[in-house]
Amino acid sequence: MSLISVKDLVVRIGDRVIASVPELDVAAGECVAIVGESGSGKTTTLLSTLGLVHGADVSGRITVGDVDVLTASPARLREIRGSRAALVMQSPQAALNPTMRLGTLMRRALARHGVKGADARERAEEGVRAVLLDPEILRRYPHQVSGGQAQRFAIALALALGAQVVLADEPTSALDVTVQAEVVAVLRRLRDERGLAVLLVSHDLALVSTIADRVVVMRDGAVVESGSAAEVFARPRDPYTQELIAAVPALPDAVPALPDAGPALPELAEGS
Amino acid sequence: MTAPVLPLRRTPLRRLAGVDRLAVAGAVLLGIVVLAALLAPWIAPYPEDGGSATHPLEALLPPSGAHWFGTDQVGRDVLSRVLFGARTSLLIAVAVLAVSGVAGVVLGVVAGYAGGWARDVIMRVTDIFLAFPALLLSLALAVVLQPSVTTVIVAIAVTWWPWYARLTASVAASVATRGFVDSARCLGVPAPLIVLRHVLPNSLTPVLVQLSLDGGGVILTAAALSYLGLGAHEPTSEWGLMVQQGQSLFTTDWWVVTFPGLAILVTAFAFNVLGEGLRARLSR
Amino acid sequence: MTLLAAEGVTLAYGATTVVHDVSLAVDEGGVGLIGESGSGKTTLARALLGLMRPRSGVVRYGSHDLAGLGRAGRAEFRRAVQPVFQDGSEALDPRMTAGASITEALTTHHRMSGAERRDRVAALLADVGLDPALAARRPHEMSGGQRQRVAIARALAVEPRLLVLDEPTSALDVTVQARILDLLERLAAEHGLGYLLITHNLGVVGRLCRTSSVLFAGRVVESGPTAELLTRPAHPYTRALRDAVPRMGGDPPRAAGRTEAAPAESGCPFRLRCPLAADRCRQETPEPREVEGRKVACHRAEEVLNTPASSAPRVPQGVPHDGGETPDAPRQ
Repeated sequence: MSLISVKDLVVRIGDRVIASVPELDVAAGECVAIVGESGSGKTTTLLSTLGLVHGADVSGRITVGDVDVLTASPARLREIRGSRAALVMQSPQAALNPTMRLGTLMRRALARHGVKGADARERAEEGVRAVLLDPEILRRYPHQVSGGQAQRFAIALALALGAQVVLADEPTSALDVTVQAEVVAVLRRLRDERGLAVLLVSHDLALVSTIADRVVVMRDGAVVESGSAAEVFARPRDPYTQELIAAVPALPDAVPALPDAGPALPELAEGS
Repeated sequence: MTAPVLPLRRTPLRRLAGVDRLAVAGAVLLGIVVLAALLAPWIAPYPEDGGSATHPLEALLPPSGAHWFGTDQVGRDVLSRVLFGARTSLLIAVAVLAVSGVAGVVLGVVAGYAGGWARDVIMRVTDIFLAFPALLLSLALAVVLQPSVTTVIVAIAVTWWPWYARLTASVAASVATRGFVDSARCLGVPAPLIVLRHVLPNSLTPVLVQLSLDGGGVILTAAALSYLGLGAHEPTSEWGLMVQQGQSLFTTDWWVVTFPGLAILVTAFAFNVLGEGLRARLSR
Repeated sequence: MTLLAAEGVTLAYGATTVVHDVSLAVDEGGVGLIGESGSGKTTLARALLGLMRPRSGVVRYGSHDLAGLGRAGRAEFRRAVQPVFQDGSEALDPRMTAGASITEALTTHHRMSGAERRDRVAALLADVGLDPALAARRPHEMSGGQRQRVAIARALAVEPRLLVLDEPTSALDVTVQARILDLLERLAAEHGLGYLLITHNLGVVGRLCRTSSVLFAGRVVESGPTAELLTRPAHPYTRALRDAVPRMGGDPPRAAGRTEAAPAESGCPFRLRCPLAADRCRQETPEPREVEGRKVACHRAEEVLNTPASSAPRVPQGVPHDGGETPDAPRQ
């Protein structure tokens, strides 16, 4: 069953169509990527699945779980944001209240969804561990953590709230490649081990090719190509997809990665 | 990008129009005051009353068809004196803002761009001036100098410039770290040219807003100095002076003090509205 | 020939030292400076551009110490070395049109008639693949790629020999990135330009730089021919950077491990993130040494170089970087 289902979505401002998506489904344990460049409508599509597009006419049918997003009450929408589907943005630090410790932030968010006391603490720590952060981070303020940590904390918050889908808008484009690799590794692991669904928006095809199961390529508000990632990347049909793929800077052929000595994922740093 | 983009911009445009309405209202109001000042000799019903004329027989007449704002203790037409007073008040405002604005911006931009000891010296001097209560410093200066319009201008400008210096310095210091300034330095553009071409134009906006917000403050301060007998004096028409002369008559002959008082209020208000409008518009 | 060099340069902001005793020589072949944010690479670039004085060490332009250059020497240095910053919207004065920005560069060192200026501006814009009509636009009226091209045109106006490129494409869409790289490649060939390319993305250095240096926590940990560094890294950090670059259809990028760990205060600065860290790395700070044609500061460089393949060799995706895989992207 699809966690997110979009049918005949059209987002208009005045007479101008800024995003038009005939069909988009995200199932549990699946990563779907919307690929495109600035102005392609990819972010608009992502935001409209949570009813977060303002000042535009949105038509079609969008369901998150069993909730019809376009007809749901504002209270119902607030409820599904977070507890069903959580948003991870490009710069999470900007979205975190700088005067609150991360733990406080987490506790308040949980309280809004009715989780309190010891239960809340447990879920917070569990969420943080799931993204390979030390629970010690809950005692820190947003400015005391790095961009990569903040991004993983945003994912931890989603997990603690019980979100089954993470909607990520360019989650790594402000990060160093090494940090990006960590965030992607965390997302992959959560997808594989917990069946987390990921709707990823990115302009970086190389990145997308390493995590997405299915791909939707958008340009100027329209879907130009979609299908399984393997299929689209191996045999792109649309010239624009071909151009995007060709634009990825290529490394000379790699040496194999360092063998086992290096943990593929960072273990919790001991006592750091 | 062609026509279809327009709808996207409609909302900001509407907001712009709303903001502009405020700025435009301020500008129009101020324009009326400026026109009144410029045209005073021609539109004043009794131009000679702006000066030293006296009409003892017509003293303290209430507002009427002949004297819309009534007459004062020596029989001069209050409307005419209010119109001539606009010249004095605006002259003071413009002169103070020009002198303190130019001094503050020049010192501030040098301090902000150069940094180091130049900034330290300029900012310490600025701090010394700011350490005095402004009105008290103006009063002290006005007492030392001869009471006159020039005295008022000097006395206010001396306490006003440090604010502009400090504001400009902080803005210029942040502009100086921008990429285009580095880029100009890497081209080998001489420092004075970098300041004139890049730092100054990009630092000016907040100062201009502050200047227009302060116009009202200058007029109020000038009126206060004149009211205390330290500024303009008879027979010059000046609103503060007129208020001072008319205050004891308020209970019996209210018009002598009320109309110059209203003129001060309206002009100060116009400056503030214009400044707020500009700020809202430029800070978007 | 070395155009610009850092010799034992140490840079600090107040009490914080961000670059430690770095030596680097930039020649026409292009040099890559690779590192994560906070590695000190942008600070080093500022020193090489003469925007910041070293705490110790020397920046050399040709055979001259930059700090000791006279008026004429300094003007010559300014004409020879030009920066291109990450974001064109930051590097161009928002109040100036593209034409005015380029004209400023043209007239800083030469007098020029109005007609001559207009011709040169048009020629420079055409050279970077832009419509000369763009000269009348201000930065906010242009796209990110257009702004970056204008910034490059402005830098080219003084006919420099060396461009210092600080993350020139990382703020741009991928297809625009590719076109800017094409442009830089063409300009290097046509104008004999050398580049110092500063980036955290190894994917872009291969195309523009013959040699590269990898900076970690303000120290050069590995330097040598770019192709060698990219295919056979000798330092675990270079390897981590390389493994982190996502590859089309390749294996998922390898997480470098504990990127949040701060550089170690004693011993090898990288040891807290290093999968090969041993006792020796805790006790002894590795000095740069020659290993198979590159300089590397790692006790276990030989092991990094000679680690046998643990998995099946990767299938090469696309053509090697010096081949014809450059996309024939249409010019804007």
